[in-house]
Amino acid sequence: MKRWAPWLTSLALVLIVLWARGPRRRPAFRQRSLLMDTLVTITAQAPEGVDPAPAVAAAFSRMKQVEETFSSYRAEAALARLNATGRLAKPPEELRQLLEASLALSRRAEGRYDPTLGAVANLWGFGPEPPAGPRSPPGDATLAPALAASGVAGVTLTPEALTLRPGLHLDLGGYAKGYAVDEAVRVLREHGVAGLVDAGGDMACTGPKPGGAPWRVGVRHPRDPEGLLGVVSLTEGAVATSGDYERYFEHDGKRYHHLLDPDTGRPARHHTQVTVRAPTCAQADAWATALFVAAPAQAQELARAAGLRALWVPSDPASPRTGDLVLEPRP
Amino acid sequence: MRRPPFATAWDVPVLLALVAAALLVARWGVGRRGPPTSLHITTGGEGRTVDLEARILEISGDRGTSRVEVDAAGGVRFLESPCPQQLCRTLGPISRAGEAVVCVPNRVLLELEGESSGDLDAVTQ
Repeated sequence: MKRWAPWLTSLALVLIVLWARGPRRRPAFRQRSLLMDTLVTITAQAPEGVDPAPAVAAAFSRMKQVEETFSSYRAEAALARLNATGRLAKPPEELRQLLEASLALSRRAEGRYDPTLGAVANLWGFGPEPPAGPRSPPGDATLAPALAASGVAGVTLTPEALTLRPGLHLDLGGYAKGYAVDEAVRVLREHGVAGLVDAGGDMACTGPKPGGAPWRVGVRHPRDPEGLLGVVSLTEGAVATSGDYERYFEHDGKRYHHLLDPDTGRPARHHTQVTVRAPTCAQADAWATALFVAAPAQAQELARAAGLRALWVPSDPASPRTGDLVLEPRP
Repeated sequence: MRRPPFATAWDVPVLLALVAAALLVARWGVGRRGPPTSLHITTGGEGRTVDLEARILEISGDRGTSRVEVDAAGGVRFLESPCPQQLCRTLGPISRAGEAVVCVPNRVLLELEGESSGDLDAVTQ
């Protein structure tokens, strides 16, 4: 009688180990570009035998088009012209629609996200027209007129033109960047390519990877550039993070960051970081700003009303993190 | 009739060899990713690849010179850039293949090349 048992046992062991290791991963195609003042990375996976490069090139091309309309830094961009003159006749329909959407989100966020703070951001050095000289916090007398000119009520949209109250500057930075990401995702989908479009850490995916696996997105630790709080598995929609470490300067030992409270014109201080999941990157980006600026109780209520999952890291390091966005353990 | 033994002396080394082979394939098999092999530098739309020998690099960008350190462990970080905020210096070193760091005002992009390691596709920040 043959002794099959040891051979069957060892074969089973080999199969179990190989199965646990998982299938060989197809390397992803990754390309980067500097757009909208940030590093944009597109990671793509195409079906077997399909080259993802043309789809990725088309996605970057579309993002560049969005930048050419919505940049506040390029003088020829429609948004920059609107800010410079206060009125834009026959504006591009895309600008009108995005402006309407951002104003609507501002209202839903009870003003915690405010796209009309461009003049205030300039005074802090976070906009296209920073003050000359070394950075320092602007005083109340400097901030007051810029704050008085801001506010969504100062934006008028008619079929013929977009008009801004004198002194009001639009800052669509986060919303427009998120919109560009959403447009890149749309282009990848149209080409039949699965992908993750990441603009400076705010990102959206076309869906799961081929085979159904999620995109694995680490959530950065707010005080350790190499550390992670955990991981989000993304199979749809977008994720964005706002933190006080993204753009800031220090003066007299204190950090002054770019996430401004619309009521005071000064950096919001309730949180160190917030991460938000949303259906689109434009929404995720704007809501991340709103939920960072809002005080904790209001922020939680806004997220609940908007049906968003979020995670807050409070500015007090002794306080625990809050929110219903559950992170997987770090790898 | 006597039952044959489950394994004989000859079976043991063969079984051990099979188990060892399975573990080796699982740990170091096809598809394992390695450390970074080179640094790709992009400025003004043009790119070049350099090795990861420990030294300080001076890289010309749109606004001036960025100083970049390649350390003995192959980590790369910005030491200094000609921009007011110097945010690139706060980003910390990159050390794994596939990672990138950028000075946006000076338009200097640094990417570590090699087969990407780790299970993450991106980091939200």
